[in-house]
Order: sequence, then structure tokens, then C-alpha cells
Amino acid sequence: MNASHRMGQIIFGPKARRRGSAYVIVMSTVVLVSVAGVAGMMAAGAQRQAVERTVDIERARLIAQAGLEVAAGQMRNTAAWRSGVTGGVMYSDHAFAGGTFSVRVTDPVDGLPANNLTDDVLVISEGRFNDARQVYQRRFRANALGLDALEWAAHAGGNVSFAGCTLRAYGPVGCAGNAIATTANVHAEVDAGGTVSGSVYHQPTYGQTATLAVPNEHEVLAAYQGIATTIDRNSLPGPANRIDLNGFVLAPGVNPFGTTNQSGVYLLDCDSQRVTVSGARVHGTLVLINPGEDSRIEDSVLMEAATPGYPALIVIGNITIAMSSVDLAETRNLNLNPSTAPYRGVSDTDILDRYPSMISGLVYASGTLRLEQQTTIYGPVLSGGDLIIADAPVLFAVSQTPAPPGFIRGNGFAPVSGSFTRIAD
Amino acid sequence: MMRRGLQPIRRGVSLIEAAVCVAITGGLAAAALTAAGQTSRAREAASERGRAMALASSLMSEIRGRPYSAGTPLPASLLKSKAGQARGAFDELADYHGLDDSPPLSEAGDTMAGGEWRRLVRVEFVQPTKPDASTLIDTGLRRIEVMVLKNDRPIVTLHALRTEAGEAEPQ
Repeated sequence: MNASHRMGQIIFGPKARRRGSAYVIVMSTVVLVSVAGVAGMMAAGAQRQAVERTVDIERARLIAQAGLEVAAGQMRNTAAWRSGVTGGVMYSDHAFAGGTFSVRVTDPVDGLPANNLTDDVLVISEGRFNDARQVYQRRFRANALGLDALEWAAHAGGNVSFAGCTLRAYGPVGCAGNAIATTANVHAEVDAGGTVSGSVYHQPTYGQTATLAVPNEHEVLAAYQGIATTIDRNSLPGPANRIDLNGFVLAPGVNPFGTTNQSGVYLLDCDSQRVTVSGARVHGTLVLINPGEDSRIEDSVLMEAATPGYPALIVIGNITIAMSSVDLAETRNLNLNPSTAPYRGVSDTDILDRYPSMISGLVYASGTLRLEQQTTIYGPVLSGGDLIIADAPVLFAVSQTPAPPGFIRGNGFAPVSGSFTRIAD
Repeated sequence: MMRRGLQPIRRGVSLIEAAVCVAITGGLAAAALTAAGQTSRAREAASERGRAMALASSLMSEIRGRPYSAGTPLPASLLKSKAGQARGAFDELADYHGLDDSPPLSEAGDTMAGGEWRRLVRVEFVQPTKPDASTLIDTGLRRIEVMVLKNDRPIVTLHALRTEAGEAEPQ
């Protein structure tokens, strides 16, 4: 080994170092080309990934916005959508276009989407596609237009009968059917989809007028049923098959028949039992379902909606309102303005106060509605069936703003301008 | 003896070395060409997809900017379509149903890409509960599908939903 090494050094040393040099050159080139190739492929792969990522993000964006659209449609088409939203979740991982969207609803006013039908809602939609995620939100406002009939003093889906009455209405009275006056003095403009007959009309009358839309009783009930506090009829006073509600105060802060409702919406399913309401102050919305024959709101009663835009009285069925013009007075056992139900912001503990007997707010009955005695109503009176007016009621057309839920036309919610935003989280 | 035997071997590059080098170089060249081809195709595909995405997005934005205008309850196949007309005449969402846009044109009528590109649009009613399945009933919810093809090969498809309630959603 030493000999040959020596020999190689002496004779062939310089040339021996060149042995395999071709391999070195080729392998170096291989490495360089490989590195360049791999780098190029990686760059191309990264570019492709970036493009795919962009595509996924765009799809996730469209899916998130699709969630907002579906939610807007749900709010528009389903009167009771608020009560159907559990924990603020409207949709969870709803499949669309290869991805999913999840929609949450929050109430920016008080955090409780289901407690007030006129509160704004903030809809937040999260769209996912593969690993891409996009979140958008939009605020919607319950700024619906009310039914045209809300602008009238009274309107009936059936006929209107003026039966021996002296009616004073500060706003038109109309119906889809016929208007008939029998020994009456009608101090109101009367419009009828059919004919106007009888006498005496002291203001212009119009027959064959365009028919106005009447509320849909199912939509009305659905709108309020979800937020109402139900009164158990079995716990109420009265003889068998009758419900006598006399001498009480019902308000957001007080409910002598059960738990309170902060919107003041109380629902009583009468189950065909005759119900009588008298000598009472209702600061809220009273919903009576299926009252029995000859059910009445009578004598001195003060009814006012507690929540702006809510009706004062909703009756799914027939009802007679025969109120006295005598003031509603406190009695030994009844303080009408306790601290839990102040009147115009005033409460006390005495029993000396007197309040006007009237209804302030929308009154709706899905069936036949009779107005008798000196009933005074500030607000539209709507009847899905016939409207019968006797004695000497006084009606005032009072514009309803915002339009009461269940009594709207078109889109119940409209997007708030400028509220559409992408959430980066 | 040794001198005579070693001299031809040690001088220059041996035949074996040359052969091996040629083989390696050949293999390398083949691999490099393959890789270059793949890289080129990948770049082209990425570029193509990016361009298709841009074409799809622009048309989708245009469509979503149109009023919903709830239509009459027609079957999807009979949905009102103004395909074939200048898009300036399109005044509602359903007008885009059946649009076949090749070469792709901007809303103003300017050419956006070559004739190998094509954009197809469908606007159909869907159920809120199953927004991927079209229905013949007017549900108040429409699905917009924009498909971009190159040489009749689908490259990108985008979907969106619109209701009348969500009118004039910003893009």
C-alpha cells in the first residue's frame, strides 16, 4: 500500500486526483438541478394552495352571507320565529354548497331576542368551507309597514252594522262587506267593499271601495303566543263555566293570577267559557283565546298597551265591549297605581285616584266584535268578522308606530343600512 | 508494465464514467423535464383557477346586486330568463337564469377573457331547509349558481342564496 501510494504520488499523483471528477461534476449538477426543481415545484404548489385558499375563502364568504339571507327569510316568513330560536341559535352547521353555515341571533337592545317583538336583532352568520371560515353580521329592524286598516278608526273583514247607535268616529269606518245603518246616527266617513245602506249618515259614504287586507288570526296569535305569559283559567275566580275578572291590575310588574311578563303580554285560553272583564286596569296586552258566548269587557275598564307598538286587546273569537264612560276608581281593596304598576310614571298607596274608562291601543277580534255603551277606544278597531255598533261608542283613529307584530304587510324586518360587516376573530 | 497498463486508464474520463454520467444526466434530464412539466402545469392550473375565480366572483357580485323581485310561482324550467339579451336589460335576479356568457363580458359589455372561457348561470328556488336542492315552488329563497368553464371543462363553481328580505345586500 505504501509502495503503490508512493508510486502513485511520484508518477501519477496529479492525474489520480482527477479520478471520479466527472461524477462530482454530474452529481453537483444533479443536486443543483434537483434543488432548483424542488424549489420550483414547491413554489408552484404554494401558488396553487394560495389560489385554493382564496377559492375556499370566497366560498366560505358566500356561504356565510347565504346564512344571513336564510335568516332574513325566516324572520320575514315566520311570525313566531323569535320563540323558536333556542339559545340564540337559529341554524347550526346547516349544509350548503359543500360547506356549512351557522346562524346566531342576538338582541342588541336588551340581550333577549324573544322578549320583545319590536326589538332590533343582530344576525351573525358563520360560513365554513374546508378550512376557510368567514363570519358576517347584519342588523335587522322591525320597521314593518302596518296594514292599511290600522289607519282607520274601525275596519271589519265582514259587514258593519250600526244598530240604533250614535257613533262618533274620528277616522273612517270601513268593511269588506256591506255597511248597514238602522235607526242610527253615524258621525263618521263610511267605506264599504259592498254597499252602504240605511240612515242616517252624517259624513260621506262610499260603496264598492277597494278591499283592505285584514289580519290573519293565526299570524296574530303566533306573534304573541310565544312571548306571552299564560294565565291558568282554572285558577281564576267565577262560577262553573264562567270566568269573572273583576277589580284587578295587570301590568308588566304585577299579575295577580301568576307570574309577571315584562312586556305585559298575558294570554288566557278561555276554552269556550264565558269571560267577563270589568273594573280593571290592564297596562299591557290581553290576549283572549276562544271566549265563550256573550263574553264581555264591560263597565269601567282602563286598558293601555305597555309596550309601544303592541295591541291593547287581542281576541281570537267573538267579544262584546260595553264600557261605561264612568271613570275607573280605586276602591278599598284596589289600588290602581301601585309601585309595581305606576300610571304615567306616578304611583302611590292611596285609594283616591280615578282614571278614564277607555282602551288606548289596537283592539282586534278575529270573529264578531260588538261595541256598545259608551265604549271609548283610542286606536284602530279591527274585526276579522262582522262589526256591530250599538249605543254611543267613540272611536279615534290613532296611528300605530311601530306597526304591531302580526298586523304588518310585506317584510316584517328590514336590514339596517351600514350594519353589514365582516367579523374578524 | 505498470506504466503501460495504467496510462490509458488514468488519462481523461473512462468509458464507464462517461456511461454512468450519461445515464445520470439522462435520468436527471428526464426527471427535470417531468418536474418542469408538472410545475408548469401546476402553475397554469393555479393561474387558470385564479382567473376562473375572478370571472365567477365578478358575475356573482353583479347578480347579487340585482333586486330579488319575487317571481310568479313558475317551475324552474320556466323561470323568466332574459339570457341572450344585453345584461343591461336585466333588472331582477331571475333574469340571469340560463345566462350563457362566452366569451365572458363585463356588465358594460367589455370582453373579460377569451372565447375558450364560458360562464353559465342558474337561478332556482330552493327550500330553506335544503338549500342545495332546487324546487318548483316559490319559496322566496333563490339559489344562484355561477359555473366557469374553460374549453367546456368546469374550473370553478360558486353558489349563493338570496331572499327578498335580505334585499340589496352589500358585496
